[in-house]
Amino acid sequence: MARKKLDPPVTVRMFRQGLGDCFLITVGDTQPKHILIDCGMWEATPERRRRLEECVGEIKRLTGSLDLLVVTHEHWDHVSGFSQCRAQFEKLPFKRLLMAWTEDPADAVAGEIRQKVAALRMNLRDVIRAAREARVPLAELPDSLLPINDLEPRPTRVLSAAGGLGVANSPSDAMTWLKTRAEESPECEFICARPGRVIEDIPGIRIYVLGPPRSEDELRKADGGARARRAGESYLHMDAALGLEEDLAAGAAGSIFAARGRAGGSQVSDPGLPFRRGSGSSLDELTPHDEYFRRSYGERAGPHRWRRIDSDWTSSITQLALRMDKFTNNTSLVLAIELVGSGRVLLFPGDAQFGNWNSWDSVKFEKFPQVNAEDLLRRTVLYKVGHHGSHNATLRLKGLDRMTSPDLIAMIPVDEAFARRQPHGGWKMPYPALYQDLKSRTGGRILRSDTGLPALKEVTPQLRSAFQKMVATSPLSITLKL
Amino acid sequence: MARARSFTTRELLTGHAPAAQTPTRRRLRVYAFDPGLSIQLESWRLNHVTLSVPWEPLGYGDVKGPRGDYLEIIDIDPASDRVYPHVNLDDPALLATDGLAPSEIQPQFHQQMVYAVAMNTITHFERALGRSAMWDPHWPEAGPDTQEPVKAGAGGQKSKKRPPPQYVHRLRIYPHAMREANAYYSPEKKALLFGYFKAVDDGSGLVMPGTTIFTCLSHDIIAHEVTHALLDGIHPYFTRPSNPDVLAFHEAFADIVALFSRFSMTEIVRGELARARGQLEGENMLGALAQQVGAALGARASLRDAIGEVKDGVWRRRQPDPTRIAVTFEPHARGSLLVAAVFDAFLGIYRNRTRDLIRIATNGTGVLPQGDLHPDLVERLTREACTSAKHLLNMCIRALDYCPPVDITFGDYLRALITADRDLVPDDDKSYRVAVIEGFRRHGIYPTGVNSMSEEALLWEPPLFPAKLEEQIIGAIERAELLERAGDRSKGKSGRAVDQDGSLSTPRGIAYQKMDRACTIIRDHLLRNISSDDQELQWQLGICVGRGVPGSIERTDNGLPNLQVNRLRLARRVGPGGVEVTDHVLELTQRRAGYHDPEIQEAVDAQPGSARRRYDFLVQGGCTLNIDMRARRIRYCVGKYVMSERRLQNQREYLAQGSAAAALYGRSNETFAILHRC
Repeated sequence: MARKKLDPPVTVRMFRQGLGDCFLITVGDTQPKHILIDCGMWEATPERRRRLEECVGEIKRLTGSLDLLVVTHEHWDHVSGFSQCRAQFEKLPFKRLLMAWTEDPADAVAGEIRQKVAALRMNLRDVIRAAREARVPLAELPDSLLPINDLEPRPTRVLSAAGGLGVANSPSDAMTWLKTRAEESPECEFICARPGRVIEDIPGIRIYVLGPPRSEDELRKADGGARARRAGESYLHMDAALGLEEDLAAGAAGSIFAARGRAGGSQVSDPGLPFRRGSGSSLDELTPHDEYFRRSYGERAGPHRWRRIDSDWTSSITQLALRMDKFTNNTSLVLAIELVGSGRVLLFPGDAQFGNWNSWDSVKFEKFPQVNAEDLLRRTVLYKVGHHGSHNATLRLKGLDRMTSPDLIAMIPVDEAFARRQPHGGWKMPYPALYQDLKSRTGGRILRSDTGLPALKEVTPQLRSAFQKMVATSPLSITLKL
Repeated sequence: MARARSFTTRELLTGHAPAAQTPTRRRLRVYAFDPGLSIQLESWRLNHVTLSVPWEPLGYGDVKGPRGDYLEIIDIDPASDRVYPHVNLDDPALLATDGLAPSEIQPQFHQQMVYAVAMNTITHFERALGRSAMWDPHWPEAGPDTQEPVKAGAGGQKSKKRPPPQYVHRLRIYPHAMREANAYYSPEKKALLFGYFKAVDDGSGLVMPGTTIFTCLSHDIIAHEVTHALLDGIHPYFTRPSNPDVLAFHEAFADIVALFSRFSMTEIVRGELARARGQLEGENMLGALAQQVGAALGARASLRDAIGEVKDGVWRRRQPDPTRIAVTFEPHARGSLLVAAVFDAFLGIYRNRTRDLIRIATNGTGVLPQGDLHPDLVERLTREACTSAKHLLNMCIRALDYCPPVDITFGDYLRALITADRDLVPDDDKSYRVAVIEGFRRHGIYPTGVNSMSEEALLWEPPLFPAKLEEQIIGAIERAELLERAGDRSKGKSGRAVDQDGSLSTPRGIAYQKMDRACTIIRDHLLRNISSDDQELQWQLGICVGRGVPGSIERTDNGLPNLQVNRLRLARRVGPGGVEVTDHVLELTQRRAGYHDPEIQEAVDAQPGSARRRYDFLVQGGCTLNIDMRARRIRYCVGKYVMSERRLQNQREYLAQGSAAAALYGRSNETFAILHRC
């Protein structure tokens, strides 16, 4: 590939700390510039933490200092390193910190979203605590999954959506620490990028910001699923762009209140009670005339226990948590890194989901009017697969279908074994159908952080050896030379 | 159902006061739509109706409560830590007043309403099918086929014996199960869960913001959810999405039943027709579903509308668009296309049936005079509308016996509709079938594998089975019936049914046991005797039998290809000469391990015993056999070939779409809980 000569040498390192993202991009050889994108993982076992520390040590050894530190979004598997390995990061200076516009303290829209999220998080956090105290099981979440203590949050989706339980060790805490550092040091710049921005000051590359979407319109649309429903588009808004569903939130809020009330043993101020006070009796104080109930549901219902609905009502809380989780994924900073000489593009979409991907078409780059999302995807030669290869973080029509470069390579930071061990059948990461699709589009050139170099049985020996020459693996990382 | 006792002559002559008759019907008041319409001037009068449901004893003997032969209503509200006292519908005061008066603030009325509407829906089903409704049995560990790995290949490890399914006599209804704008049928618990929530302020003034909205007070939502449960009782595999139509069909069918069952309330049809001057095509309450819930969620309109939609605050008739089916995949949205097709058919039938009336009333001009219609005309129009709706609803329900057991598509359903109706009414003089075909055609719903949309082309074809196979299948059924008659119950008594509360000795319980035993006997018989390597035959049956079957097919412990017989039903039809004939409907299904990677699939198929690794998804195949036992003839065989490469590829692609519903596949059994969250 002669085109390569047009670019300074570029390497992309994917670290192998576990289920989480950590990428180091190095541009140039004489005066190399270093970009770190995210650093985190789900697992919290001591040996995994040691592994992460080793990875961070390796980053320190390779770079000395960072030219650009990118944090895509506020999730533990992308930022835990800044908390767990804080001591090491304190000795690693960075010149610039890049986050999404949703982190901008001066942005009114971002402020509004942050407030909403914070309020919901507070609620969720309270409910999880209350539920634990009152031993109310959260539907679809076995008790065993809830953390033993606040200091070591174990990965649960509810917890992740609640932003962790304690003040320390939460993803937002890790983000705040980085922001404070950037603001406190005079030679460090903190950038909150909106889509359409281009960062040009690293020689040889241009960084195009594609997401997260921002338009007042989109936000208004997300203001309750009603409008879309009215238009007859759908009833289900799993994937609305920046969709914090207020109707769902409203529904869950009732349940949240109830959960809190149950925990405190107080019903007095519950505004969600459906009937007048005094109607019905509490479950604990059933009087003998409730024989009907006792037979059909209570202690005499013996063999019908499987039909009870004691905790089904809490599922709206779980649903809300999941939705918030997706919402945070959708606030992912999406970067298309162009190697200027050859025009090749490296795509780092964070964990962006449907709404985020869908919005890229409307992004315009003032200085480069000829560049657009379609064109950037067409030139993509490296795709960092979103959300560890889950089923809903890679778009097909407006995504993979447009990545037509014959040189396309995919990198998946994933730990399939760990994902499988998760409750309720495990998380399907990577999702088999997507994986299959990626395989055919890349000719099998998929680099996974858990399994390393693929066997590449299908391709010709020449192609295989060419690919093998580009890749170097070690227990700590997989390095791709472009 | 208890029959009215007739009196002997002696009783009459001796003048003994006859003992009070057991009533045959129980009359209960309900909302015709939902409480929202009771506070609108133009509709409040229509909104209260009295349903008449079959009489049955309620409660546990002396312990009174809303628990009958089909349903048990349990009013626990765990989110509020409350149990509400249960209504005693046998209370003389309530018997004399047709039950409690409609009320939002009285939980006992909520219990009465879910009971009455659910029973009414069940009655529609039983009337159409001519047999008792049955609920899907409870599978103690998992659904009929959820997470459990297919034991593919003879070398696979011995499977743990799964506990037998338990008979479920009553569907449970929890009217206040959660605080959420949601209501769903839980196949796991065999229960309907209704939620309540606070209305959102959308500035439309239709609902007071902050009002508590009860989904269990919406007539449509109750009918919709009960239909889910009834459909699951007939076709348990229709909750397993393998193509975009499956879940959409479940939703659409539930909506169709909810829509047409309101035409059984003559007084509201009369009121609406008078108001709309005989027209059903404009915006009216008959074609819209769940108005209050829709408004409370801020939609300014009903949750779903079969004929129109509200855009920018203005209601418009939706024009059929045959291209929409290709781009609509969300189950409710896709389902609404099927609903629209059937509703269009209904409008066509209604137009056809009333054309003469309009001509008479207008002296042939077809132009109705200004102002209100003559009450007699309204009355006649009402009768026509109600009759057409009843016929069409019966048609829709009856078609279920002609559907394939798995992987249904809208096209299959169209063919089932046409075939079922043709069986019952050979002469289509009211042109119902033409109307149905037109409705489907206008919405772009075409079946695959037919040459044209003509009635003849759409009929299921009789199978081309060798006489031996036909004899084997019929023989198996005969054997099962013979054993049953001889009272030999040892065969099927593998302990499949567990009696828990004496419900198995009720007529429905006995019928279930009979069916269950027959299924076991038939399965054993078929497993032992059917063996054929004839490709064409296997394709027709939809299952693989005989030696040398591909490695991904599930096998029994003996290494034979496994198959399931879960349902044996009776379907009535009118034979030639007006004689009523009862057909046997038998369903055979088979499972296969599916993989996203075609290479793995090929490798597994090539080598029996190689399928030990986890499969990616489950492929099902099988057939519905429609058997005329008297003529010893298999009339139809509606098959879905388990090894079909096209279906496998379709399922792969469907799963790859990453649609919300597909993502749920194999993860959660509470398909509807998540699907319905609105």
